[in-house]
Amino acid sequence: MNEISMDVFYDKLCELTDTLYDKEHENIAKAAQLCAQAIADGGVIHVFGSGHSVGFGMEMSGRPGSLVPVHHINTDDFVLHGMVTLADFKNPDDIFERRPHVADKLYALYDVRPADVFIVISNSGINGVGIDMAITARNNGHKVIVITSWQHTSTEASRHPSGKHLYEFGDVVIDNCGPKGDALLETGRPEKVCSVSSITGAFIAQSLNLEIAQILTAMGRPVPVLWDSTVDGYQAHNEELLEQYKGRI
Amino acid sequence: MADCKEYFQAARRYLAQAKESQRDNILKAADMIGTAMTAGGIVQLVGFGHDMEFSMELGYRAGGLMPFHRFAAQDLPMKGLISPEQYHAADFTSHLEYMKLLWDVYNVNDADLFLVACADGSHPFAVQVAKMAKESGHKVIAVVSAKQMAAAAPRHPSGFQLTAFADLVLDTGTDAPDTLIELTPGLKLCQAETLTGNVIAQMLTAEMYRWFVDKGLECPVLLSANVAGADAHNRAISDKYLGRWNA
Repeated sequence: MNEISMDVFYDKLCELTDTLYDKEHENIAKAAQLCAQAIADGGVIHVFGSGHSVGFGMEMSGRPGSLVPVHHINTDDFVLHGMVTLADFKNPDDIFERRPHVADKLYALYDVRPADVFIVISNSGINGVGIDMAITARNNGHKVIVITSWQHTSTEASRHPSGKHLYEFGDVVIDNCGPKGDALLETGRPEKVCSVSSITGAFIAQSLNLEIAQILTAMGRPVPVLWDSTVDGYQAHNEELLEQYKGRI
Repeated sequence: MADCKEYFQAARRYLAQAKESQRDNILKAADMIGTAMTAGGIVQLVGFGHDMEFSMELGYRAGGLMPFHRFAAQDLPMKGLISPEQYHAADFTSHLEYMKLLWDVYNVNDADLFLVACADGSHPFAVQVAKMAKESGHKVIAVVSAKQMAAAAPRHPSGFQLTAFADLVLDTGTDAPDTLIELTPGLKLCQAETLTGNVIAQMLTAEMYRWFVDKGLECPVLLSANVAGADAHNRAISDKYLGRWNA
């Protein structure tokens, strides 16, 4: 049995975030460049992750300090728009995120414009819905940024009919540096504990947020970010931005 | 050239601070949750808006404990309890009666414990569920930013904030406002709340695991789907709570 404690987790996590920065900061910068260019050209960033990867889109949007032109695609929209029933959506014998050919229907729900860029997140990178979203976006001429666990995706067969993995459809691929199966700590028994992909996802999402703003500033472009309540005129500023992107985010 | 080092450094300061300042509270939370679970309870995770990310961190996830269930606002329209129009209405969060609709459909058991995340401690739904839980005899653990809560006006009609109904409070320690990096004067970016909350959630997971193991008990951990026999194992430990975890 290995010792498991909050300190063991914390120390391992610190090592992991060091690795993430050292190994991926250049890819994060490349991804930020694509996003900043999209925003400069009037586009928005569509963020798609199913299951626990939904958190990435939430992390990138909707709070003071967040960029406004970020559209968080949510698979719940399938149910809310009456495209599938809740029972079908939650069917444990036919897991929704593993099904192919559902993402193109989701894509058609939204106001997607030529300058837009896509971020698709999947730890395993093997499930139908994420791969289809990346393919659909590419076929429509959009740049695609993929966030995945290289350790996981490179060692497990795809469930997509093409046999391909999500990273094969990325213009930029960011490895979240997390372990296969997502849990960080080996217990010495079959189970591992403490998942890290939402934590690494938050680091990547926030880093993109910061770097997109850095690039837009260097380009001399306005940075469409929600202001916090300590900044004079924040309400009018935020309302104006939200109005500018209304119906797209 | 764009660079994210400043974010990594700033974030790590919040995480270090959370680990040191919340150690005792995390150990207490692990004990309360372990005690509730061994008595047949599950943990009801409550979080709305961005605070849902904390619930998602602990709810039904490989490497996490199984007996959790999420109170999720989107279940209101998804389960047909209210219409999509009501869900998107401007006054949505003032309808405290919606929390009773959720509570009734979720099959809450007397043994359940409530873990309620709300950064500013003031979301009317979060306060309402905590109040209902406390008044019906459940243990309540709150996850807040003490600084954000102090800066926020109460929005629940009782005038109370979340911690008024909590047996234990975990403090993420994030600042008010939670915007970390000032790029140019007035242009402030990035948040630490979710990250800090999620790291607290995983430190709690490690301590819950240790709690079970130290007592010689089997800890109900969900296996990743890529582990042989994971589906059967996960179904077996979940079926004990059928109709509750997946309500």
